[in-house]
Amino acid sequence: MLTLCMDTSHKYLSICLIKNDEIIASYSEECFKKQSEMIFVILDKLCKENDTNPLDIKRVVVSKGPGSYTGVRIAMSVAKVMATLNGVSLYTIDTLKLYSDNLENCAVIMDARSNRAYFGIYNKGETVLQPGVFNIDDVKKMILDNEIMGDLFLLDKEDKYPNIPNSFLKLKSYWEKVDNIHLLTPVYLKDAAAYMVKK
Amino acid sequence: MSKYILAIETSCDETACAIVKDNNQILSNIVSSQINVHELYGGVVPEVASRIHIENISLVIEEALKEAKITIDDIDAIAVTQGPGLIGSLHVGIQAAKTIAWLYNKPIIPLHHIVGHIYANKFVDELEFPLLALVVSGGHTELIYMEKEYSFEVIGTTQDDAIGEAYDKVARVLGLGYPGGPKIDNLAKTGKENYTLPIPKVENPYDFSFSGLKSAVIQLINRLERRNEEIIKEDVAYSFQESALSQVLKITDKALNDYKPKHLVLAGGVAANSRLRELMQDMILKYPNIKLTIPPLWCCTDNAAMMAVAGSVAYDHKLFGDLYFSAQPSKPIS
Ligand SMILES: [Zn+2]
Repeated sequence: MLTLCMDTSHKYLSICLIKNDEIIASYSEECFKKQSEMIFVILDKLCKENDTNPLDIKRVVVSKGPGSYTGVRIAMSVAKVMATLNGVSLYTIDTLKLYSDNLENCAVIMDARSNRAYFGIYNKGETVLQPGVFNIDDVKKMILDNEIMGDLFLLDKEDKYPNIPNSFLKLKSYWEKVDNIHLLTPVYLKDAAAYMVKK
Repeated sequence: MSKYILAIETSCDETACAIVKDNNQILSNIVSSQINVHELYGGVVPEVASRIHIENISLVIEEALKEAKITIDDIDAIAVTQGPGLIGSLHVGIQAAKTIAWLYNKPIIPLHHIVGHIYANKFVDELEFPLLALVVSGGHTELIYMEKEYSFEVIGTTQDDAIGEAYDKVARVLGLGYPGGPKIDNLAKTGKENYTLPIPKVENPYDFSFSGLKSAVIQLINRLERRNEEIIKEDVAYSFQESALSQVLKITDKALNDYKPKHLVLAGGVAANSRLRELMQDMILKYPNIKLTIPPLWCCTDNAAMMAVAGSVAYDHKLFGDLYFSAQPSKPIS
């Protein structure tokens, strides 16, 4: 089965085609605010280079946020329309989980502006701390000895992002099937409704 | 052979998809309006509008195809509003349109929103050129001269607020709520000439200005409040509307005289205004050689059928877009 994965929820434009658990084509570049111009150029390029008719794609996986409000809507618009017209099955993955790269004990931090960050903790894809919006000072207290991915500049360190196409594949067991395509909307986390998952 | 255009419009607060056959036969025209939501906020909140667009986009496309009883294979091209409009809202429609075009290998036609409003008149009349379009809405107040099909020259525009914006602001100070246009229009019917408001003057003979008039209304209300005098809302609405529309009328009249078009069309949300319609019908009597077309009320609000008609004409001119084009929030018409 041919699967298309797309992430535009942060500053990257990441797209890959997966067939039989193998990435057959991928693209992932920093593309901040240019994702809307570039997404079809890249989709078209990847399909043509691999002799793939877009209609052969049978499954679409898209990151659902949190992240850039405009960004997350770009790939999701594409995914929702593909699934509606072509009977493609639609899956989502939480953006922070995607950025945790299936690592053990991994905290993911992403800029939410105004000295706040989206923050979540994962252990090999399992959610340890549900993603929420927190003040940077609170984030610092919650990191503990977890590894950190994402916008580390917020912590005065160097940013660190996974290879997003690889991460899509590694986290395949966490792709969530969308039953009603029309009801799918991004996760914005505008209100800081965060809570600890009790283990 | 018949031509089928599927169009998507998401430039402001309506998520819309339509399918039009052979330039003006509407097979489906689905509009999901956000007006109830924006009424709560007293105007369109861009982020809220974008959120509602992504909720509705796939459903309106599905409905449009279902109602038209055709499949994507029958569609000749996908038309979409590229601008002007709210950037986040435009993005959703453009991605959706590009998805269809890419998936099914169809040409895509990026469109100017106002071109859709102008071509909406094709639903009631054949357009004759040269044509003059008076575009009046919440975002635009323009006189557009079309020497021939699909050519646009802006001969006059507003120097400050759009006329619909002025209506909304005056409605707000009168406590009438959003959207202001229809509310003032209704209230003015029972008003009389009781307050004097200025008719604004502008240098370029075809340009408009509404911010001075809007300020004059605010000053009038402040003055009445200070003096503890009753504010007769219907009279304020009447005076504001007469002043705003007499400006529009005067400038349109001058343009008709100077440009001598064969056809005058109204376009945009304020073209639904009953007083403007009346004044235009009266004025056109002076010009036996000029045809006046007033669009049907459903075409004064945003919808995708009008974009499909514009797309249909653009299709004949082969005005196709590439994969790169993106939203243009202040897209120029020419
Ligand atoms: Zn409009």
